Amino acid sequence: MKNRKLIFNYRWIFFVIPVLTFTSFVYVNPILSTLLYSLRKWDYLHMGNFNGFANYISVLSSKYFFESLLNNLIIIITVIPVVIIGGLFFAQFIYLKIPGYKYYNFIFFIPVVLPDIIVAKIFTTLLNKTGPINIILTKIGLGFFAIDWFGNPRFSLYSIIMTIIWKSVGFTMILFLARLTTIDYSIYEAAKIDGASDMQIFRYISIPMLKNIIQIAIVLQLISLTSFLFNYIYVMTQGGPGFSSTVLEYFIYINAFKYQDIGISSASGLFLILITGFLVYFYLFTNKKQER
Amino acid sequence: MKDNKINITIIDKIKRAITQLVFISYSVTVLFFMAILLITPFRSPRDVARGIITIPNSFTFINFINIWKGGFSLGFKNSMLFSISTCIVTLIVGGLAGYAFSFLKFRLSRALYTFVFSCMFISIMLISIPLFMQYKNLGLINSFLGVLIIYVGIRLPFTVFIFKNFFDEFPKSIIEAAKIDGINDIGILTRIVIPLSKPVTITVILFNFVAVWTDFLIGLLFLQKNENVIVMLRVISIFQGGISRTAPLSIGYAGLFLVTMPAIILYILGKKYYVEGLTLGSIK
Repeated sequence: MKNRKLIFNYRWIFFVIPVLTFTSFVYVNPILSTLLYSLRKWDYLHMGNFNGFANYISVLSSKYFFESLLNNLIIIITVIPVVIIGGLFFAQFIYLKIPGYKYYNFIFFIPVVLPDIIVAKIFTTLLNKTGPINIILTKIGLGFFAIDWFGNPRFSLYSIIMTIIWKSVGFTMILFLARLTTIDYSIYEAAKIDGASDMQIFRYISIPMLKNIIQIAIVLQLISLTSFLFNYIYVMTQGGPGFSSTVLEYFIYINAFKYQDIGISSASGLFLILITGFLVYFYLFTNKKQER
Repeated sequence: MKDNKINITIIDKIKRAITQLVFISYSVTVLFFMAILLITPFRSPRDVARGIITIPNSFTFINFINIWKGGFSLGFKNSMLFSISTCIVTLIVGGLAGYAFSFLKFRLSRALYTFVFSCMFISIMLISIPLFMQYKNLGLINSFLGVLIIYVGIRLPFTVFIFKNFFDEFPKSIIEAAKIDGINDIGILTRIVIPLSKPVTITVILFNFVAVWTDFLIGLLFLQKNENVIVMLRVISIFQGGISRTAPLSIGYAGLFLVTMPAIILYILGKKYYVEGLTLGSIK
């Protein structure tokens, strides 16, 4: 009997081993390799000897590395407030059943599920220097708005930001709306009968209810805006012109596959690992606090 | 007093009008985008050449016929194979792990789950570079099985996360009753848990299928032969080859259409499951 119990207790290993094998191979192995690669000398895709922290020194003395980090930061501080406030705005009014709310609920869902590559591609063809949007702007007398959206280093990053906002505002809306629908609607009706304005209802009922999910949405956005931007950048600007729209993730990519320097690529990759680690820790902490 | 009330209603009306204006403006941009995506592929190349934003004067399937013959069918087949295989493997492997993390009590449970869960947030770009170097040395670039392992590995953390959270809310009393009746782990899994897990299975299939179907990065790095091409890569390469007379913009849009439609139709039909996937675990 005792023996049987022991077998029962260790049965979990068979359930968990496959998933651990896959994740170790696809996640742990590359991260450890990145660490190893970053300490080596590289001669085009061939690994050489250890050369200490030379790769890190080159990364930290590269002004393009910091330009990429700065671009990440600009994307984060412009996208997150708009996406959170926009999501709250849409979610609140759809929840309050403004005229046409069912239609809006359906339409705003579409950009969320469109593949990011497709969104990026269509925005690029529409916002081309000689593209249809610019032609229309010129025709209706707004020629000064007809800028070179992706080809001008002053605007390229902001064109990407605009695209990201357009695609992700519905995502936060769905998150917030899902939470709002768990609230008893009679609370709102009671507040309305008591003469509370829309703004007061929003401030004193919705926001406290949504506090945790707003935190989660911010962390999720932080993670996707540092680690999952490649598709947008690759399709829309390839990081250019120059490095004007390169982000950390893209910096890692061009160093590996354009300049073929795995050392530099891995050393900058380590910074991304550290940032991700910090954000994941933050996410777990937020979630834990919510469980209490 | 009366004046005051009138003022409030006017301000209210203005506020409502502004709100509607914001809603309408955003939904117009979405409708405009969708109109471009849905109409352009059905216009003749010459018609599209007049400009994408013009009143269409043609209706044709020629773009779809041309792109299908021009190698897209192969990409379609490959992507389908990758998506379906990934779904099957992740369901089995992820479902088992989710079951264990939720039902079986063992000391490392929490730590191992946190580890698998955290992998979900690691940049695909980051892991792709070392994997690319290793695959190159092992000669696994362009290998179906090699790439499938990567797809499965990438999709597993999410799958485990969804399953675990679903099982956490599973009625435990049924399991207890089954245990008392002497049914073992495997029996509980196959006779009780699996039959009751239809919604979570649909959610997982939905997300994993679309994620692999619309993948670009892994295909870009690991599938470099023409016969291994996946749909998204095929479409983007049409645009990158430069728009010309033999490959007009309308063909590129036919490709965008063919890639997007399966994904968006699945999501719209399964919106309930999509929202469930987003909110399982993050909202309780």
